[in-house]
Amino acid sequence: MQIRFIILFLLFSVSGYSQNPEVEATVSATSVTVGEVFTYQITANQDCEISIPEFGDLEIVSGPSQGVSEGTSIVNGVSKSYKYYSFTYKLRAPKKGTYTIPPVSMKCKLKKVNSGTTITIKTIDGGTTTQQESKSNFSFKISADKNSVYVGEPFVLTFRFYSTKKPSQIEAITQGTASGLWRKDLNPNRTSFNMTQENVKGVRYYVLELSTEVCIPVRAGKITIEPYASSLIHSIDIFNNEREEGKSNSLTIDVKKLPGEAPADFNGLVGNFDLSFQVDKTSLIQGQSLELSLKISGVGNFNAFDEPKLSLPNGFTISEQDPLDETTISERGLDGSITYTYILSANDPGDFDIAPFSFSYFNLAEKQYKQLTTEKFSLHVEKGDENHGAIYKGQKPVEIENTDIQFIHQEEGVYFSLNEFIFGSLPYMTLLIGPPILLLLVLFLRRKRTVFQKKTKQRIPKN
Amino acid sequence: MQKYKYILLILFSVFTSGISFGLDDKFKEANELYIEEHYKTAAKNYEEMLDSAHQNSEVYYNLGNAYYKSKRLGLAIWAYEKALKIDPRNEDAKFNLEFANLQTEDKIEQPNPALTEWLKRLLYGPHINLWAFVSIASSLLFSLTILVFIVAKSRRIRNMSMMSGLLFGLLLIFSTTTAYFHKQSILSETEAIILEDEADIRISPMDKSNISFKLHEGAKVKIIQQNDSWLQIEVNGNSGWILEEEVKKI
Repeated sequence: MQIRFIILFLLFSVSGYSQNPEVEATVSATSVTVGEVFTYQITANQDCEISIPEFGDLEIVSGPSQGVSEGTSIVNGVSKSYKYYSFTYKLRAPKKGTYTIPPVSMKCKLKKVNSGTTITIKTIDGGTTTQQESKSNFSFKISADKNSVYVGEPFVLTFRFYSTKKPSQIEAITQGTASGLWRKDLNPNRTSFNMTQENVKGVRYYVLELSTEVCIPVRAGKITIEPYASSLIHSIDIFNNEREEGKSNSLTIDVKKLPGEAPADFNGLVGNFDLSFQVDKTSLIQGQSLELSLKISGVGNFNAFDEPKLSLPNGFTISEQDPLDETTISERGLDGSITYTYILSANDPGDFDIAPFSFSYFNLAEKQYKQLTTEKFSLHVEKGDENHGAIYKGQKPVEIENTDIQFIHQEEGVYFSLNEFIFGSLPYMTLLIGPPILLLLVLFLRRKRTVFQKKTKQRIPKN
Repeated sequence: MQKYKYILLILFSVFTSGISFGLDDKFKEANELYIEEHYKTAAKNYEEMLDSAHQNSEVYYNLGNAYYKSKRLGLAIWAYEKALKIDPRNEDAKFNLEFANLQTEDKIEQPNPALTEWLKRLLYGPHINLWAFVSIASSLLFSLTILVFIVAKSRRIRNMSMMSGLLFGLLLIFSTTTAYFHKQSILSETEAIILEDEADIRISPMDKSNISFKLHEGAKVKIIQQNDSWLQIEVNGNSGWILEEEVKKI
């Protein structure tokens, strides 16, 4: 039995080593539509140095992914072992035309072989295919909920992954560049990803939503969003994983100018907004201050809004507080409110009219400009008494002009002599050790007395 | 016999109060001189008040100020260090020391961790024998509670005395250790301040020895050992020898 195994092993070894090096290149299709992803695979029967050919204008979607397969075949009673090494690329023809892939060569020790055939790929009519329509096992796609928007009008951009195999892990997501676009992830800290299934021409795909962003164009014209990239992993079995990486399509959004002529007080706000203002008092004494707050609420591109500039009559000092931003990101843009607070200090007495504050925005629902205005109000400032009503001048940090040492102490404190330390002196040691020694002595005497009493008891004869 | 005892006590009180009054007047006089900007004379008066039998954090502090104002930076730093050695809670001395140190030329790395400084401020009060007295009291109370524990019949009293004994025992160890370190910190002279404008630190304790490095007025150094009139010092990990007269021990 043992001899039989040794012979078999030798046979396999000899057959393995006696193989001539061979390399072959294949494609999944020679006629493809523009954008269709196809497979290019190099297979070799030995682990030698392979020179990958130039792909020319063909785009590499992913790869190379390497693989090794081995086994035994029995032909006419003769068993033969084999081992193949493969390198797989996913390619795509970016435009119409004919593409060629030269033969692949392999160098094994001193022997050089090549696949011999040049592969020609032709594109056929059939329109621009989208990624999920291709024959590839997986693809990436970005899509927007609107293809045409106004400047400042938000739209949602979604990056999805399509695969016939269920992915188990996301390795990386890279955003494509886009100029003239304000982008925010709707769920930046997401830990779980939404997965659905979609049937594309009879093939069931797993669809994974990798990112969802709200985008607001800041200029008119064509805005191109460059391809997004990602890599994902799916499990083949317990020990093996396969990586699927690639790029998505690019996307062009047509951004239109806002219709009509913009009013003078329009500063780019698009959406639906409301304006409210509050003043804590309208009558005050010279030197006192009042608080005025402007609240802009609604939904839209708050990011385009500049801080309001109040026009005040002479005789007031204005101090601006940090704005209170209570907006949140939603699919409709920025939703919520921003409150601007101002402290107005009256420097001079008199009656003053405070001009209303106004701004215009473009209402998306009604497709027209609208103006929001605060109410005009008056302020009465009474002449102040210097002893009443502190003049508000604004606060400054305390500035040290000169520094010097601290002044001498007038209290003398306690004197002591270096010989005054009692620690370590004989009286100290006596007082420190004395009590425990006394304690030991008492215990010794007590024990001695107990022993003596016991002995005495034992000596007394019983009556 | 009883009569003599009382006489001795009264005499001692009169004598000590006399010293106190004498020093108090001198202190006031020195302060007045300082206010009148006679800093050198004020410093001389403060110096006269201080000897091994009369140590006082406040006097050292005022002396530091008088030295500082009379442009003697090294001596000022020394005096502030002395004031803080006696009373680590002297905030003004700490401030003035930091202020004066900023004007020194050499950048000295001070290996004085914040925890040690905090412990000193917490434990080393102005009374030098406080922890010695606490240790004596703890020893007495510890012995008493142990005795009660052995003699007592009631379980409750035994438990209470055992707990108290344990606490007094711990206090005894703590107070004895603190008293030892407090005494050491005041009496030991392990550091010194450079008094010369520029002092040569030599490789060996000899005049002809090569100069290893130079230090300037106000730099604080650690004393490693003494060899006649030479001191071996260490600063920022470098060591060398300096003449004793060029420094003042803290």
